[in-house]
Amino acid sequence: MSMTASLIKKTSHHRNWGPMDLDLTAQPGETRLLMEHVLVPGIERIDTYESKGGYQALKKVLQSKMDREQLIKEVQGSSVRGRGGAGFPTGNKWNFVPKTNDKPHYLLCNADESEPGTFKDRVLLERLPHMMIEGMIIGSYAIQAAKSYVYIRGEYTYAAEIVEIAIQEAYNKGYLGKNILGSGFSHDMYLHRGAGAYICGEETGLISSLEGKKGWPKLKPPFPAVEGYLRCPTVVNNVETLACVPWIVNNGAAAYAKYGTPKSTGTKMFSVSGDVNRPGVYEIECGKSLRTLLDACGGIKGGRKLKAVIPGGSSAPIVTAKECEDMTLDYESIASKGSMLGSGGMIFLDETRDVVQVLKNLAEFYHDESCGQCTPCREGTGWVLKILHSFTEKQARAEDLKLLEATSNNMIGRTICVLADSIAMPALSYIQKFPEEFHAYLEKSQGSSFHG
Amino acid sequence: MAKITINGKEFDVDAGKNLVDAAEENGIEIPHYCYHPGLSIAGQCRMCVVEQEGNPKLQIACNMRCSEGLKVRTDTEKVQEAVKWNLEFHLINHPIDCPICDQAGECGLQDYYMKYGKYQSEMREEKVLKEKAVDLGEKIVLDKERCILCGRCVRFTQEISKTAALGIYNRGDRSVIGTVNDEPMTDNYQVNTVDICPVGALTSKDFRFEQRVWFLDEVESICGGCSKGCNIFVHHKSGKHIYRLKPRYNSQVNEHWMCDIGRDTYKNSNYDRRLTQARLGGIEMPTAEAIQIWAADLKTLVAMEQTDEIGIWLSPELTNEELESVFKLFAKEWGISKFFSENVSAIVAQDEAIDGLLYRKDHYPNSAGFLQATKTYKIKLDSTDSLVDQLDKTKIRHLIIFGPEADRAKTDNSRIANALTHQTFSVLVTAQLSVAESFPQALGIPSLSHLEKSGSLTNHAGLTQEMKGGLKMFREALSTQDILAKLEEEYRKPLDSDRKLEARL
Amino acid sequence: MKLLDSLTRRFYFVTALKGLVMTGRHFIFNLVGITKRHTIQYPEQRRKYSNRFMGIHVLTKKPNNEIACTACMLCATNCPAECIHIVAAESPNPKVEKYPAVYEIDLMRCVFCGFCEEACPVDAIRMGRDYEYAELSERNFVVGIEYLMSRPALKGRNVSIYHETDKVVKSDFQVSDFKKAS
Repeated sequence: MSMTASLIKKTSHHRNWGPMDLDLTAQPGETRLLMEHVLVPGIERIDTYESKGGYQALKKVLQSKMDREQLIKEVQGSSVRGRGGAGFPTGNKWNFVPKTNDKPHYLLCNADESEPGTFKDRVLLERLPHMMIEGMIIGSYAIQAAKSYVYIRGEYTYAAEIVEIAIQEAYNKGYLGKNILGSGFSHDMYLHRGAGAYICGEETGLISSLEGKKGWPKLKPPFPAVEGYLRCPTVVNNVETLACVPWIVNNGAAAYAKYGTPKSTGTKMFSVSGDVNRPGVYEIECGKSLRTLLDACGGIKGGRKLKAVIPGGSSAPIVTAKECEDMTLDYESIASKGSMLGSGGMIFLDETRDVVQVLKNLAEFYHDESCGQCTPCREGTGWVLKILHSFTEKQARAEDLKLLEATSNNMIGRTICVLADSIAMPALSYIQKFPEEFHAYLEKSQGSSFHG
Repeated sequence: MAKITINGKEFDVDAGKNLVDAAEENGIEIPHYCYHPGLSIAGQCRMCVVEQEGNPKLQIACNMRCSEGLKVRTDTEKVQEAVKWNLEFHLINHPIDCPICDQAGECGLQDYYMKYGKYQSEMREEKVLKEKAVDLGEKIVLDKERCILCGRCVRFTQEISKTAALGIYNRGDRSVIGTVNDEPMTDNYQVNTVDICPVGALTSKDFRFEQRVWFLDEVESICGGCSKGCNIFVHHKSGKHIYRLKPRYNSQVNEHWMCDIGRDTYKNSNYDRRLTQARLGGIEMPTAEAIQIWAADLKTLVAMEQTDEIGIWLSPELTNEELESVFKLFAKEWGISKFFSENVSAIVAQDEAIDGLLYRKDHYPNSAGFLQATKTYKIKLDSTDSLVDQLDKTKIRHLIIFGPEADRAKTDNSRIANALTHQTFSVLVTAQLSVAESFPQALGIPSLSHLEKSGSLTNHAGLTQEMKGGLKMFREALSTQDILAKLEEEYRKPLDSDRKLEARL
Repeated sequence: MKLLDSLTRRFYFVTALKGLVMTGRHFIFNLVGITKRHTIQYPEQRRKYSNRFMGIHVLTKKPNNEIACTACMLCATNCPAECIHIVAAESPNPKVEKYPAVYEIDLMRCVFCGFCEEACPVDAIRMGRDYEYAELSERNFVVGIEYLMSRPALKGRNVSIYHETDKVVKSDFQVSDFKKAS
């Protein structure tokens, strides 16, 4: 069973997960900005974090009562992009929030990390929760939010405990609560545990879930920056994005922008899984080659050849080994290969992998996780799975490949959120890039007739 | 006003209007399931996709407001392909059991399939099976397989009836509509969910298997169930049997909805509850003959100038026109002054919306119009108490009772019936068999039931609304105006015809 | 000639004789069997009708002897003579939703066009082969389910093709907890 498969099995069941069992020692090729102190024992506690320079950024902002506009400009200047998947510039997102204060504003931290192949936020939540909390307080200050919420994935029980303790510690130290550090800014932070739905990691789905409703994504417009949580202006940021904020405030936007490429600045944490020797989380400067990452994680298992990479979590279209050769780890380069950097969940497939089986595996996940709101996704994910099932069961007809393409094509861009695209786009890319494997299944199916 | 362009044609529409409605007003159909003008926007059926100029992605029309310069197309290949596939997605797990489905004939899936269907379905895998014929209480049956999960019903219970009885459970293609633990729905507005269901998922128990909808014709009317005056459609089969009532949109009164109590009032119009033949003491006779008998008795009293021995009891459910002809004939023409009724002023004073929605405490549809008419004709109304008192003292020898339909005035009716003696000649003009039976000694004359009447009603807010009528279920039943006209005609006939009549009697 | 004409006209028996000869010829030819006879010895002899002959309707049944009709009323809708009367009801069988509690055809009104057969989505009504039906009262020409489905002439062979075989091949793919009711 592939790594993806085992991950999918895990996400589809409610389980209490203990601490993450990963070797986080720095590997050559890594540039650690966020994960600099990740190996320091007890870094998840506030004292250790402060001894390593924690909460300096918050003090810098609040004690000098930094101008909000300027703070947002600073974040805009760093060009840091949302690390949750869409890659939207964070500074701009904050800037969309109305500057007036007639409605309460909210900052939500999206810690509902459920994309198969992505587990970088878990490292941050379990090891560096204060970095995220510090980023959240700064972000809340910037958008004038009096309350913020950490929406954490239900299965992250251990991480939830760590974050809960961390929030309490921050209250005790006076970083949260009334009149923080004498600045007059008051802020409350809450932890909210999800109940195990992938869709609640979608921005508006998360808002619905937090409001106590069924975790259904909402129609846009209105966008959350105008009408989000409880119909008030809301910013939803990924854990990694928020964790970047203290570093940017401490070292300046220019220092951050020095890393990476002009459009994809800074570093990115990659969750590496699949057929590699050392799966894990690696922080690599944007713009480095894929080879750097592959070397850092010890190359493909068993000395086999690389077949393909799914670069941005399971919902990203596949990239073949050949296309990988000149691919660099930034948003633009991966987009030019028809895929996306997404959440940075790199899934490596070696030459022994059966692409059709991989796709079916993904289809099972997305069929299970479709929220059922929009018809093309609700019915389409099931249909795609059924067609793929007929492939793997050798019951496919010749026209099924075309049907699979047509079905996928008609799911893309037809729904409220992008869950339908998340299976339809990979499906199309798998068919486009490995048509011979689908045809092989078709040939095996020939002669058998199937009446449904 | 805003100028918008649909398919290259310019239209002037109200700014801020929903694009689906604006297009429909101008004769362009944008298919939709989840959008309903009376409910919030969900945007989940994805049928209403249109191509907006300058936007490469298809947009849903239901989430678009008309603004100056909006340019959309519904006729491009891209849109048509998307609609076709969306419909296919709706149908792949639909059981297509139209032959046994009550919605067939007015089903959104059928209608759009004929217009936008893919015709050759490529779905050959097994469909998702769900529960069928789930009992949701006294009024509704749910078929989870037929449901397309547009969520209209769910939004209705959340936004309009505010019971939040229905919800969507589970997720993905396993999603189902339901109540908590399949508990029954109990509120007075639940059948509206059947109306707004675009498919046959929610069907009415009352109409279940009764008739195929393509056999039904409709006439416009006003509900007679209470003083709200909800606008309705009466669905009947060739004027012989009424099968159901459906709300008719009126922004001033009931919008898109009506209550379930009002929906049941059609039963009073059907054969088994109707007085179909004039009758006296258990003997049935033609209506014309009954009116002759009535006129003969009236004539003696009027001729002897004993009009103060004539009493008339009226029900506030008569239309304004009926009241007008009653008052004109009896009060103006013949000078009768003893009119009785329930305490209508008190009923009007205590009237209120029981549940804050539509259904009101005053169960008569025309109390306001009744009071208005008595004022116009300067009628002094007496209470039923006074009528019973005068009957006991035999001060009234000719009593005419107009109109109680159903059992609304049950107590008053039985009190009057008990007080009636042989010394009083009583005439009952009603449509209702049960009422006729409660006055066994009266001369029963069949009139039209509420849903057959044409005329106007004034509701609690003083709004006078027209009923077009057009239904006549029995030959013998006449409108009150016709009965009175015939009565007057008989009354004016020369004496020798009276002799003939007496000879016949 | 004129005289002859007037004579023949006057003596009409000449024409009558001509007619008699004609009748006599038919009589003799029929007697000795030279021409084909147009009458048969009914009921001992019977005509053979075309396979497409449309006689009294047959309601088919499912293998378990339940009526196959689902009371969709498409036959009644399609009927040009409006001779089909159906009252639908909830079936006593919990696996079946709708069935006809009353299914009556007025044979006096029926024009035997076969539109009902064509409209039926489940092969529940067919045009039968029977054409002999005599009754004393008009009322008796309204026949119900009992006659249409179970009359002895059908010998119980009127099983709907829709129910003869279970056409759905079950695949093990969709494991559902729900039972399908129909």
